[in-house]
Amino acid sequence: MEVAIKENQNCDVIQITGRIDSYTSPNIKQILISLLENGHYNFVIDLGKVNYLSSSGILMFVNLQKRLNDENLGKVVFSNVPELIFSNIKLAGFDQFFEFFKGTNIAVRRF
Amino acid sequence: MTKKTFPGNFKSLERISKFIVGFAQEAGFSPNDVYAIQTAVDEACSNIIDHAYGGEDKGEIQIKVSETSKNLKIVLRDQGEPFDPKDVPEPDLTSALEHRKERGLGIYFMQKLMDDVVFEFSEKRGNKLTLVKNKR
Repeated sequence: MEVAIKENQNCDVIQITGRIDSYTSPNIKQILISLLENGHYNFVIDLGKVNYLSSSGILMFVNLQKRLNDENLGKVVFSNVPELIFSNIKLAGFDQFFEFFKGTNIAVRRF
Repeated sequence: MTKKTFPGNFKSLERISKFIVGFAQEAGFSPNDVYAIQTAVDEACSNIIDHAYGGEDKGEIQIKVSETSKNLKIVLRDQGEPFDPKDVPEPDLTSALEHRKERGLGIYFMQKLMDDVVFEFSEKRGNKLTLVKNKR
């Protein structure tokens, strides 16, 4: 699993490659929380190169959004979500809480 | 029938997935079904580590995969604490984000994505979880 961060004017693009599971999601969480604690509140999570997302991975993004909601700070949105991964996000009922974009540039313009 | 044993830690999850995905693809399942089987087994193994063993490296996960003309059967065994799915409430998918609970999503995935999910426990052999996916 690899994480690439690209800072933009109003949001950060987090491009993840590989698996997001109980092994890798704590590392991703740590990266996102450290960005949040440094004043970064809007995130575009690019899942285009992710081949698996477990429930622990989904919950990690949900908890980030919860924290941003609690402090009324910002938003997590997703881009390039593979169909199979989206179907599990939908199965868990979390599709209604997030915005999904076909391309990362379109997602960045949302902020 | 193929049997493999993995260390009960999260690092094993990727190797377990590769093993299961390879088997499901060989058995001729569609990409959707292969992903469903992969998800169910990954969630099952994460639950074994988190809840039956109560942490990493406390024991092993044994996985037995067998195929018939009708289905693919995966049997997972561990020697952790007895696991009763009735102790885990079903997630309420309609509640607002701030009220959503963390527990129960893994079992919910298994039950939605597989055709049969059976939890058993014996003093002698520990937890046994059988996951079945039918061929279409």
